[in-house]
Amino acid sequence: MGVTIAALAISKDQALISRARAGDTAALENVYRAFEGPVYNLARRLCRSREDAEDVVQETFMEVLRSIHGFRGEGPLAAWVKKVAASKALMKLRKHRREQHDQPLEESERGAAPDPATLGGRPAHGVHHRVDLEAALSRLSDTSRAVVWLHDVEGYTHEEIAVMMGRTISFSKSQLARAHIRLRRYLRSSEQS
Amino acid sequence: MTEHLSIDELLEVRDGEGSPRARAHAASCGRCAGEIRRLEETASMLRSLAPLAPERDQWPEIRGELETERRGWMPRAVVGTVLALAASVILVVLLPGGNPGEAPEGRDLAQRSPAAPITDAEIEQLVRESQRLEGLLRRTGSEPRVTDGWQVQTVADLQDRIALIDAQLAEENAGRVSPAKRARLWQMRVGLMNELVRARAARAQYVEF
Repeated sequence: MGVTIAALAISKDQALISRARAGDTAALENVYRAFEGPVYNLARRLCRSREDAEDVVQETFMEVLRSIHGFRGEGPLAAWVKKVAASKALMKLRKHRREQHDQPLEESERGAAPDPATLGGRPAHGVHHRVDLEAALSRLSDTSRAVVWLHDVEGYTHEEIAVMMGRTISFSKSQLARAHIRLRRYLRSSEQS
Repeated sequence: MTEHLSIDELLEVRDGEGSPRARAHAASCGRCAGEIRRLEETASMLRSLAPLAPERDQWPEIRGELETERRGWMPRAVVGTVLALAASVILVVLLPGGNPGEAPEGRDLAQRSPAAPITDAEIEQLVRESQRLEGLLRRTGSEPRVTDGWQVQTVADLQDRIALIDAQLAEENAGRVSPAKRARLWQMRVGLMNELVRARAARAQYVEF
């Protein structure tokens, strides 16, 4: 969830947070407006469909705004909202996996350790590469995509991701490695085609 | 020096981690240094992707749902407090550790080192302890609604982790869970259920005040 200026400003606005904690509807809406974009972006990056992302937004804000009166500022508001959103999105992915009877991801699914030469390819630059990167990202498995996004973009550590996913740190690391190998492969094949 | 770094090692060095050997190798090997640079560039490109904006405004729905809840809340505030108080009393009485004379063996098993083997009979004890804790949570009724945000998050996290374990245990019927993994999963489930019971007790006590 790339933290926006609005989200940062709200996080530091103690008066507004106090009003939101007291149940002031306008203040609650301000909190929603500050975070709706980042929460949607995080949810959309992790979920497969717009509908799922909207469900995550709804569930995230219901939980945040319902519980904000208990928010005591032990940590930044943005971090709390982001954590709730990530948890809800991962829950949605797990629900889909159960429904679709996906193969469980084993701890032994370690990222291969290829010769760096096999990873070769030019670094991605420019608009075309961004389009390619979007396409490559969408081709990753749900788990790999979630891990690479949470780690490389949102800045979560492997320890935090492991806790959120209920898996081990090595699982998170192997999924990150797998994601990078595949991103590189997809980008390279799109360059060649 | 001839053996290049694996992708895991490259990523660790990129993230400022990695063993001294890996860092030393990356510092002296142009090929691995180049790979690390490319991994950094990929992360940078991911961060620079345009944010995906919501296609519709969900605030009216969220506000409506919050208002509906709020209308339902106020008249029941006193009832909720009494229920929460009752729940916390039940939990304090029945909480694991609340009555040392009745400490179930399943709880001790849940704390056993993962390295120690667990027999089938002991797994059954863990299953029974898990069922006992489920019953305990059911007897305390629905969750109190007026709670601390961080406690809500704690309870939600625990419930998520239990759901994950259940999903893995569900694979047991398909023969995809080894006996050792099954034992470990039940150990973890009992441990998390204990935490959940305690978290619910904490929430109920919070509401009392």
